[in-house]
Amino acid sequence: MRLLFDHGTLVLAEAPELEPGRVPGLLWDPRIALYRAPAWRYSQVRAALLACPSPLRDEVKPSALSEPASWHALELRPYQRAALLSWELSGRRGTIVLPTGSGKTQVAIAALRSSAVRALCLVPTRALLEQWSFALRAAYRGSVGCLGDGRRDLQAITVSTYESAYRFMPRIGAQFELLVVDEAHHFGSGTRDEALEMSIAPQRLGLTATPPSEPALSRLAELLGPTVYQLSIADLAGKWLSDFDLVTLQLGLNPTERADYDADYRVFSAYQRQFRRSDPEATWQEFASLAAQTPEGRTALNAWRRNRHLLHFTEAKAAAVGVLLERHRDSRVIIFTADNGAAYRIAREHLVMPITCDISRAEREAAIGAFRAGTLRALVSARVLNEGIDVPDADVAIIVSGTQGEREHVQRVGRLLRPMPGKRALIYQLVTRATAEVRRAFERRRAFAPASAASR
Amino acid sequence: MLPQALLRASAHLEGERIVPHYFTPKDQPWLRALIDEYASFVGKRRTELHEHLRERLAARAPKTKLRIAIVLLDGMCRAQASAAVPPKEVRAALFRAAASSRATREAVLSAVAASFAVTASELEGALFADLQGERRVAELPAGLSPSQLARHVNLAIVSSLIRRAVQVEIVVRGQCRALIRQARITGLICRASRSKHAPEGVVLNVSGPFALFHHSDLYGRALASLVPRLASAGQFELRASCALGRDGQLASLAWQSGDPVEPRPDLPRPERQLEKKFERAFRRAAPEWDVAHEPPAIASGEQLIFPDFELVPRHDCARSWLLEIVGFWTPEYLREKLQRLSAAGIERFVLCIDQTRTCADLELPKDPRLIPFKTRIDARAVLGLINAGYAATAQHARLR
Repeated sequence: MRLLFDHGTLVLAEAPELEPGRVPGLLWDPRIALYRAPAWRYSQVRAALLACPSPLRDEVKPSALSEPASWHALELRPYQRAALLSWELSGRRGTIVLPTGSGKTQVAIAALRSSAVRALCLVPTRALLEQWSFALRAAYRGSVGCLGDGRRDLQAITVSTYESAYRFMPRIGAQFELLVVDEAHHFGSGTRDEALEMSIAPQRLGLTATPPSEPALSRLAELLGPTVYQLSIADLAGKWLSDFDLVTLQLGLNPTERADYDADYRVFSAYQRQFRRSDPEATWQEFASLAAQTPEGRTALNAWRRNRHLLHFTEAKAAAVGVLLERHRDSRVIIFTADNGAAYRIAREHLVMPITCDISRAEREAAIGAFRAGTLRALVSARVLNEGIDVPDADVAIIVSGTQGEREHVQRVGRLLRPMPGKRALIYQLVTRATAEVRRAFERRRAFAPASAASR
Repeated sequence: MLPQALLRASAHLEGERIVPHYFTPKDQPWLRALIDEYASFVGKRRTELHEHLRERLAARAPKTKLRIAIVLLDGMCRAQASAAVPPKEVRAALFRAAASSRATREAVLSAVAASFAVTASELEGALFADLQGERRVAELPAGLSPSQLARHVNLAIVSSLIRRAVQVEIVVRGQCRALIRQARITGLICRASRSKHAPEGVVLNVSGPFALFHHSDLYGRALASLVPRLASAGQFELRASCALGRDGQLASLAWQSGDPVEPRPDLPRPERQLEKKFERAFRRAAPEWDVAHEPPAIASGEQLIFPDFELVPRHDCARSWLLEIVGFWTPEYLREKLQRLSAAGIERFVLCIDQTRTCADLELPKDPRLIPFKTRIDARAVLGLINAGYAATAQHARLR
């Protein structure tokens, strides 16, 4: 029997007739009259085939890339060592959950070093592509490959954007034995998963500060491995992360805003109450999906959307941003908004540089460099600064509003917690009194409980 | 391609059948009004146009169809930035100046405006003039008619639905070579056979390697890339199994020539660098030979074989050789293919086997008609094989 890699799948040639189910994931493909399995099942398929009486010739093994070079010595913090050990003991498959600023990249480099195999590191953005390439070049003695942002250089250790990995995996899926996935919560549902499915890599490491909820979590466990180590901000704040104060400012609505809010709230809540009576267990997605099918439901959803939009950037919030920027003139401030519209309004009004998806990468990088150097004192962003980008010196955050819930909140707070001697970060959360924002702000605080408490 | 939300609204299911909501002549009055609105907003901000269209359009338009048409029209007229000074330079100067000064907003604006030799209001106007919403509406393609726009939209609807396809079956009565090439280049598995119902027709079964397990967006995109080519392929019928419903259940889409879809006759021939390089090298190595692209298909039992090149000696045009570049899996496949060629009486045939892509260390069957390659096809080896073939034929003739 011969096992081959073909466009993101495994093909078994010269095989005897196999009992159905004997080899996990292997199906008969009548189009080519051969057996076929998805590439991510490589380890299981190989193990099952080796147990068959017919000899197996494995043609899948990476051969095009050279063996990886050696790595420089690396010093890890105690919890980083524990995370690495947990991953190794779990068969080198699994996801490590650590808060932003706690050194997840260091753990990944340690894993690359201890595995000493060809590895592909997947990152969500081009900015992170640069950041990872830089970190790897400092730790690795060979040259670091890069896939994405116009570059296509495959090396034994390569960094790729998700998008490029997705596009090229049918061709390069057999080249790497270890996949490292940064910000792994982006996987588990959607087309990105195909990049993980089309790779044979038996060793897989996911990194995230905020694991996804079900069903994405189960899918992630299948494709990367289960969560093998988890710590929260509360576990590390004070020693390994900067300590912080979270200040919630409760603000009001002006009379027009209040009238609009209350009117739309009445429309929405009347419909929702009625719906809940018939289906108290329905999730929000189920509710929204069913509501969209009736005129009354659509009216209710539109009212909800208008209210959400109104709360994103109220008059009081706009004023509060001005006051806080003035109060913290000598600090480095990041302002987080719910949408780009609010970010541009703040940018125009307070002459603060916006970091949004509309601004080119080169300009964003120049702005972050200027912020780091102190020539820009504040940045405003809707989502781009939520995760990944290393902004080490920010010490004040103003969270005007958000759309992504607890996960987004943890990521945003994490931006401020990279430790500096004597630093104590200050995070303002702007919440509109007597609206749904109050409850959401309360729920978000749960994210800062220690990991052990959160899992209880 | 349409965004996911609009795709859902651009078709509905009737049992297991997908019914696309094609734009029809009934939509033309409001499409005319929409095109006129775009024309009247040329040079103005795109956000202004969108706000205006949300408010009202001269003719009554179905809401979802209007959103789909706007997506298409926005794609057709790439909006342009219009500013007194380069916005990027303004941002770099203004935000840095604000950070380093305790002066009022107005004072900072005036100082920076002066450094650019413009007014403060011109400076503010330029600040975000290059961002999507601030860009200016550009001219639509000249002479765009409502019926043409409708057919463009319908092409986008079909392409977006096919992107959700697991596999497609196409019966083509006409030129299908470009389709087959496109399928091969994008990594799809394409089987061609004669149509049982239409003697002149070719049946193509096309699917991605992952189709066996579930729908894959990557190969869905590859299938969708066939749509514009098919729209220009003459007579055809397409049936696609698309994962449209919840939980990925399959539904069937039918599309055929005559449906109101815009053809794209201007698409370039899909080409691989490998083929271009081989053609150049062969012409250099054998200047007395002609190289023809895409010779007619050859029947081999029920299957059809589509050679990539026909190599024709000028001194003896009747003795041409066919060459196919094979995306192949196993020795059995090759042996079977060679047997089928022999059974069909085709002896002057060269199969070039890509060893790097699929079968790194496989032993090829011992057959002189096979030429393995890794990064480029050796034109001299092909010529050597052909010359050896001539010598063998001559010897065979002498023996007889």
